[in-house]
Amino acid sequence: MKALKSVRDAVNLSSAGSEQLLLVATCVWPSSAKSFVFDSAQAFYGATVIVGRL
Amino acid sequence: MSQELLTAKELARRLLHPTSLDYALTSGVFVESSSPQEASLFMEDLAKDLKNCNVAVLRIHAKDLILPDAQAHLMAKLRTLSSDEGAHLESHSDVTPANLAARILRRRNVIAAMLIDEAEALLGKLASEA
Repeated sequence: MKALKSVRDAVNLSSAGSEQLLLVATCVWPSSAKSFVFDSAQAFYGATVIVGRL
Repeated sequence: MSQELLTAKELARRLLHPTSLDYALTSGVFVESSSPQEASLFMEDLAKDLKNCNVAVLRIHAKDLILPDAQAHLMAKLRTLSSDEGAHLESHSDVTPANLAARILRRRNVIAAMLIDEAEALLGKLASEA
């Protein structure tokens, strides 16, 4: 996860043009995406959780 | 806390045309699904919607990111964004996934999306990183 965060930050934080890296991950129940974003020790702390709808 | 319910099309639109309330999406989005089949269909729809908007899409299964050669796998995926630039950078031993992605996307000046399937495979990895 830290490697993915590094990739995201290397692109987005130094962007001078329109380049951007979006990162979207799925998480299948009963695992919870909250494990990735609600723990301040984790790489994607503060990212967004949504529920996918088809 | 309740999570928003979004279709792939709605998510693609908000990623590419964020309002002032959507900027947290640039930190990353985790999509909860009730089954692997539903998650896969959501990602297929999202990939299609993003490609229709000229976004370069990389789709990676999280299981490939916990293997011993995960970094090499990630580098190979990133190189598909630009084979020329990838070949050039391949000769540098200090290239990391982060600077490879930054150099390719800066050079192409494009938006790319990394779509990671079944991220729960990384939860064991999270515990060892923390």
